Amino acid sequence: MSSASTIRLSAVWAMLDQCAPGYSKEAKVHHWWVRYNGRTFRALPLGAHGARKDAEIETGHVRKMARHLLIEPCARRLIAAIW
Amino acid sequence: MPKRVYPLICSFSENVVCSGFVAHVAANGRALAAEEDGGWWFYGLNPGGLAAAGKTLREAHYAFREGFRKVLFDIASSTSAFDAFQAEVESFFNEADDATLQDWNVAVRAVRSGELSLDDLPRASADEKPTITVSLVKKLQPSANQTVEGSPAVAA
Repeated sequence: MSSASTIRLSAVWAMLDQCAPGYSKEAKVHHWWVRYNGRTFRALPLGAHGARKDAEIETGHVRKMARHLLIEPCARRLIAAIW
Repeated sequence: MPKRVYPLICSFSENVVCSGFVAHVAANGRALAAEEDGGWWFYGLNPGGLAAAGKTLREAHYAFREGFRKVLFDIASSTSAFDAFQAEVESFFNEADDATLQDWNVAVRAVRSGELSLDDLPRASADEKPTITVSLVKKLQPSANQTVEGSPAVAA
């Protein structure tokens, strides 16, 4: 079964609420920066046409972010469809 | 991670206009390339916090370099002095995760044993440590302008 190729940013934030409590996010010019537990993921896409409210982004970025922030096991439980 | 991932070495060379100065960033980084989602994905090891996709390996590599450049631009917008810019860029490049490093090491062993190959790409030594250099550009000259060129190498 192939993984889902896009995911809404609202689903990503909901996952981070559970898997990275206390995380912070900041929209830069080119990407979202997400900080958690002393680590920073600086390359989460804003979505097509810039920082729209609930853009869809490619799931590979979220897979990488989860691994980089050391929250992959939790993220896999909450958004299993993207793996 | 998908079953088949390729260990790649990627080079970067960028001039970045910052607040009151121009910085040059040169790096030899590492990434894993995987064929998935109907195309190719590059997952960074150094830099660790970066991923990019394309329909072909070449497109994904281009997107990866472009993503790297955009992070540098965001860092330039977020810092006001060279020392802070340098520290943030080095942190971005050096912050890696053990899971991706493990996948990298397994992939390198597979290349060395002949199980894995990407014949279109040159080879480079996987034993070379990743490097990043951030320096101040003191003399602004047109010869410093650069286009995105080159291909990644398979780490062996």
